[in-house]
Amino acid sequence: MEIPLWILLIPFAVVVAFTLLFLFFNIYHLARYGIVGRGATGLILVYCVSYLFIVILGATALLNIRWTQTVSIQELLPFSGGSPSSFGI
Amino acid sequence: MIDLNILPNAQADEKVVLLLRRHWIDLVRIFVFSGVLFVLPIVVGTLIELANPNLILHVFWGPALIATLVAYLLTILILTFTELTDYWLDVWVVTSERIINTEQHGLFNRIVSEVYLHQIQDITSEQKGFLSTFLTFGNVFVQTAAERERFQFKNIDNPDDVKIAISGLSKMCKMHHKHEMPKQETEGVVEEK
Repeated sequence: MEIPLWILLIPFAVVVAFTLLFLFFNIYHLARYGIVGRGATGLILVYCVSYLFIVILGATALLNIRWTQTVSIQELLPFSGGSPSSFGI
Repeated sequence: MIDLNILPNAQADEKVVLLLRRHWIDLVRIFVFSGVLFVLPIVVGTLIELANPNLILHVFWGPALIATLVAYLLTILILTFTELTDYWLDVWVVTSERIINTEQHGLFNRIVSEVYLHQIQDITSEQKGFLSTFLTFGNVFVQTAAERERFQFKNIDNPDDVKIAISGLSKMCKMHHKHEMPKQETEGVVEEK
């Protein structure tokens, strides 16, 4: 039985969606209830920049993978060997 | 955002005297905890590398590890943000007339309450433990005559100084209100006639 690699992206997308939702809630709370000043604005900026940093870093790593590739159940065993790398190595 | 110059239901001569947040030690706790969680993948990665150096090149487990790592980092980042937001939104504003207590518990639980300084009956400051004594942070409890739980300033810097400041403000307010009370009562009697 063959499993497509892109199936890994489904739980990944769910986690990313949750983190995005919580990022939005955090920013909303700071924007709505924070005290006017540099603190809340700076914190919102830090949130956006650091989140984007990890997303870009992650995307760079994930884009190098051939997600259309399939893998058999037998190949899922880490020590089975014999399968080509998904990184094209 | 909340503007301290335009407080809700503010009196004409009301001024912000103190703006208090939790002590910076709470920020350190957040960053240390997050730091450990951010470093954890490096430790786990090293152990995996030692156990099976080719695992990262595996057709399935390589991408799975990378996707898990990115998802993990994003989750830890959001947990850190939530803690920081919680810290930042826990604010105690002491004005010349009242204390406004704003407490954020997580993202979906927010408590805003206020007490007028002339209603205060008892103020207690508390510093417990070595770190609290050494870094001068602790709690201040404010008790009013009303049957409500004590107002608590949690882990604030210099609780003794805050207690003295609120006590002084409360005395001033009580004196101010004593002068006002008989006048209001007389006015009420005149209106009834």
